[in-house]
Amino acid sequence: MKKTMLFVAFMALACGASSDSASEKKMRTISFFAPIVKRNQAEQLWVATGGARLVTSEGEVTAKEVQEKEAPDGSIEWIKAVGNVRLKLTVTDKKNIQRKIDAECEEALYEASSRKLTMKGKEPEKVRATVVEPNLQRTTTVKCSSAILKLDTGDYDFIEVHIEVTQPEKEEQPASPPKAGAPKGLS
Amino acid sequence: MRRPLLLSVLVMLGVWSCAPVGPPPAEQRKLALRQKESRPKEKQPLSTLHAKLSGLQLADPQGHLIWEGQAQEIAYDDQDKTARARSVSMVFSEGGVPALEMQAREAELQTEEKVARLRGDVQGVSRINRSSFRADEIEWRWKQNRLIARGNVRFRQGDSLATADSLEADTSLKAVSLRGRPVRVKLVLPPGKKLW
Repeated sequence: MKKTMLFVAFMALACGASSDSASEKKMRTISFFAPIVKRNQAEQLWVATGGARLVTSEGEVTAKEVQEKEAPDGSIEWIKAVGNVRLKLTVTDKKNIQRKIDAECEEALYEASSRKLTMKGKEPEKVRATVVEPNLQRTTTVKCSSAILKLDTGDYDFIEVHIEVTQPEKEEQPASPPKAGAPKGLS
Repeated sequence: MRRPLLLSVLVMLGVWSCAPVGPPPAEQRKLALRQKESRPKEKQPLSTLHAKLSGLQLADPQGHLIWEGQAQEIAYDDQDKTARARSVSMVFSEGGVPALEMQAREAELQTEEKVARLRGDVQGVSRINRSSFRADEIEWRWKQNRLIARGNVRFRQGDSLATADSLEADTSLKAVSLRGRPVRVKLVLPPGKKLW
């Protein structure tokens, strides 16, 4: 009887410990750092100013100001970065293709529900983006007025492209520069 | 116009008569000293009042609550209209509605200006949205509906935690501004959700 009780207690402890560690693994956090951070509870908004850095396990965003809007369930609805924006992210799309994004712009908006990243520049060529796709062995560097990156599908729309360089790392294919003003999907 | 003293301090004395055994000589001297201090001097206006196990309450002329609470020890100075208290547990009101529960080791409550200063492991919990914070000290100004906390500030809202050097907020902690070198904010996403 005692052995049975001990066994049950041991199993209960083991199950508790394993479920705790599993929940910790699932827990994702976002950290941000700034000299001034404002929280508006009514609007569910965090505003970090004076030079902000947002860090997640997928990478980081730095800008003069970063705003974060929460959804009612506590997840992030959107993130907006304004002024000298720099993004360094590693993301995966629905087909599990990994992309490393390194971009600079004046304003960036990420809409979490559609996983859409919109980048804008004050002047032409103020948006610079480099997308490295290791699975596809492809690196794309673009300078343009604005860019929309759809992280779910890997579709990119570059608007008013001024310079584009596509460098296949193994397959040698001649790069064809797109016409200015025409949106271009690269994936 | 009612006297602020009458509005601000409700004194409930009960300690002195309850002790079943007499305190040691050193304690007796302290008690005697306190009792002497608590008695008003003859031919002089009441300037200080000491009490143990006391309640605090302050209301505006319309009867709306400004603050209320309890402390282990309170000294009220009638000249500078200030109550000084130890081990305080208080509630600050916003628009007459109790909004922020506070605890601290020491408090200085200015009844004329309606300003409260709390020091020593200060803790606050909003009754409106359950946000909470800790800090070394705070200053709360009822007239401006403004709270300023300083020193080792930790602000929590749900699972989100922010650490900062100072915090400014309204009484119910609905709009909070944090300053630091830098402010660090950690948000926890719901299970299964990812950002990018």
